[in-house]
Amino acid sequence: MSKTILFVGSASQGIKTITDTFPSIPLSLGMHVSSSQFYESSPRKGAMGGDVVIDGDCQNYYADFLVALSQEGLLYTQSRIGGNTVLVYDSKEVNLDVLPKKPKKAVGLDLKHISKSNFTNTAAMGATLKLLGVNSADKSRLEMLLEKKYKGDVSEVIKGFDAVDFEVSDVLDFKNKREIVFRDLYYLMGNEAAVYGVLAAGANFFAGYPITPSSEAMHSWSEIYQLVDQAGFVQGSSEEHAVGVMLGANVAGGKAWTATSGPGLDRMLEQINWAAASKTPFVIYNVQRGGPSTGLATLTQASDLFSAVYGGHGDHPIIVLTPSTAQETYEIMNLAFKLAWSYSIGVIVNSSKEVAQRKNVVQIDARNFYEKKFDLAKTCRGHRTGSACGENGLPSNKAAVYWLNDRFRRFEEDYDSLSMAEFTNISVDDKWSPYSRRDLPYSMFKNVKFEPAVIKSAPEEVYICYGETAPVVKKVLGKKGLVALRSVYPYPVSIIKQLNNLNVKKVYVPENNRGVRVHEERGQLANKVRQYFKGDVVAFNKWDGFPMYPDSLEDCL
Amino acid sequence: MIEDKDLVREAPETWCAGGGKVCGYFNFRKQFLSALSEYMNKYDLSKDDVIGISGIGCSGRFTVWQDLVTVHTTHGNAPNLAQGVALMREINKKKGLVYVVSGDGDAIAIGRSNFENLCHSNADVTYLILNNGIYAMTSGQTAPTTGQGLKTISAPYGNLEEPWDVVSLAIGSGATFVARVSSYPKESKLLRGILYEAFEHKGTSVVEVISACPTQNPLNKGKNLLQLEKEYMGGSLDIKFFDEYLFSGISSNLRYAIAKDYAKSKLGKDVLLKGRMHKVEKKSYSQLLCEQKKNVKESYGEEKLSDRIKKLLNGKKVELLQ
Repeated sequence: MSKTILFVGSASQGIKTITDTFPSIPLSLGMHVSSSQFYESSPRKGAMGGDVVIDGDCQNYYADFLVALSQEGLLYTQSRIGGNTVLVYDSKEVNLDVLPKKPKKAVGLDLKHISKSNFTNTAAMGATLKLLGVNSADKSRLEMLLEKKYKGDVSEVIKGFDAVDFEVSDVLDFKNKREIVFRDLYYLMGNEAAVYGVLAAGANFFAGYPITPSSEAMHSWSEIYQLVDQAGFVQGSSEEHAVGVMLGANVAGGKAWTATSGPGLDRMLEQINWAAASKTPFVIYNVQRGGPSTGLATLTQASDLFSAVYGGHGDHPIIVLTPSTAQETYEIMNLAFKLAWSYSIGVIVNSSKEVAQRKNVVQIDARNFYEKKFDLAKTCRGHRTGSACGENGLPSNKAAVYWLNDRFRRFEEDYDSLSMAEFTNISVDDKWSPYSRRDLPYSMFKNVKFEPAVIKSAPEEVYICYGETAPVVKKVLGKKGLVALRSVYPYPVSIIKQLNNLNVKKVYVPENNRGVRVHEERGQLANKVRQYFKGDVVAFNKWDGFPMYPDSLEDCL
Repeated sequence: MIEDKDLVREAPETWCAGGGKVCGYFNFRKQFLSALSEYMNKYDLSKDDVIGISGIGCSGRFTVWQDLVTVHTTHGNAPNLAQGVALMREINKKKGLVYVVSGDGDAIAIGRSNFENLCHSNADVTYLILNNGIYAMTSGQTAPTTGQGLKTISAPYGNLEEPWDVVSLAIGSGATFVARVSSYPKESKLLRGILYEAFEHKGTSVVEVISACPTQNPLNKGKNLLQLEKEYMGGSLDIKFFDEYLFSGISSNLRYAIAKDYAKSKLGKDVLLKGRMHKVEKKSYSQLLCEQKKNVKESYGEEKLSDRIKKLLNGKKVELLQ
């Protein structure tokens, strides 16, 4: 029973703080929680919004609870008031008369009066907790928890809690804790998880240029690299500069990566072909966003599949991976390094704003972090034995050419097995890649041997999706099958061909992009699926910058 | 003991030679190898410790003939790559030398912002700009260093813009060693000396090497090397000339600007200044980075990386209410 709580207000009302702190309560009760700031103030007259989803990785379009601290915030979010929405609002700040559609239940509180201070946000947090079903008997435990967590004055939260004298639902149940492994669990943004993922893989250099919504990766790395021997960091003066420095570090034998977003990826593409020609491995963490300029920067999209696969001049091999949660970002960034350095190839990880800036529970085993002593001579064997890009774009030294070509041969051999996916309601030969086994949800890629997927049976209707849409589709799946791709390139041709032989009639491909603009050709991945799948292919595309929502996806299909 | 010929690798020659047209790059290569082998012997460097990076154009071919670790990069990207390589090696405390050979178009046009970034970071890179005043490999279009009024294939009625002053640009961007010299045989001693000094300098050292292009540069066309050399020697002046009476108490980064101004106003003719223009000691980005890291690590106090990371992650841990 997934619940979506939206906190809206204006800049400096503490929306970000409350969105970050609220989840710790349900988390400590053993619930699966995620949260994100779904829009920022600058392009919206100061209106800000954050969401907290209890029991889920994606928000519903219609909020279960809408907490409004200011009129602007409410006006920007009014369309998300649905049939079951409970509206909690600051009665001194918000006037409900302007709403065309009144919510089923509205709780007006004079938050300034209740909190006896300007901290209306924390008072609202207390009120919301009460409405969610933390009952008075549990109050003392709540106080204990808050004090332990924040080590400060939490009286406003309790005042807000006391101001509500009735209970609405029983979402937060102290008695029925969900079974969840609590060892090494951290509440992290996808961007932060990416940094820990690469660190576990032995990354020691980052050169990047800040760009929303990937910047947190740089923020996080600039703190962490200080603790790692032999690790470095450069904030470049442009994406061209950053990607060049990153490739330079890799040529010298380092393990470097960069984080960027769609517009930044475009600026980096020039170097990608050089890297491919000289067989310099690299990892680019690309957080996709809508449109090219300010404003849409704070919205999500999944439109960089084509540019990641085909971008650049000339042809080049590449691997494109797509995580759909923070946990997967951690694992996939780790895997990206292993793939890049074992095949001497470039790997682009296409995350998106909705995944990268959503906070989620991530399991990180600190034992994965140990000082790796680098021997530059070993890690850049190909380059040290000859010109990295001499005659015809290949290393001029024969031994180096052999060494690098051997790696590329292995890439060609493993090509089919690199279509990684998580299968739901589809039976797959068990020995296959780690993602077919969800009983190991927090598996690190230790000693992974990739084998091509062998699908045994599948229902008549199957979803094929990737990235941020995967958790959404899971909510509406029913008895249909799901292939949630973790790697989009190599294209999942081997999987699609097997679906053809298994009596699958219809394939749905929901994507947060437009693809080729002609209607019949819509959807970037859907285009490729149409090429190989013999039955019906139904593409569902959305490109307004907002994520897909389970409730709206159900309506559309 | 490394000799000049040990540093050469067999590869097809592409620079112009013969028929009276001799590319100025040949003498530069000779002096470069001589200075480099001396430097390698002095500091006991193996061939794997010297990394050569080149960009595009005729000068981009330079590294192809070097039997060292060499990287031939794309348009204007050599400075970025050099910065990454130098930084990675400095953090890992590798001894050795990173040099870039780049043309004037590569460094001052397409890769100018990258060149400035490199100078600004003061990474330990020796950056050699072979300035022939023209886009030679692409058949003689106007370059950023082409003189004003010169007729080129892409400016048939004369070039409108003033040429870029490479030395001023490098000093302004923060390079800590800047010199200008030519590749004419008469100036070989100066060239070799400056190259050696540039190799020894810790930090970004930029050397602009004025070079003849008898094939494409309209100023050089149809003339043999001796003629060109004579013209150059007559029109250039070592900055040392001003040392005696001009530079007492003047900071290094103004030295070139004052000498340039003085030469134009007092000597009454256009004089190309040459020699070592600028040299200061400054910490590089990587030195500052390593110092900062040392302090931060000490503040964490733990021995193992995993413990330090745990400490960092502490505030984000999910804890179950008992």
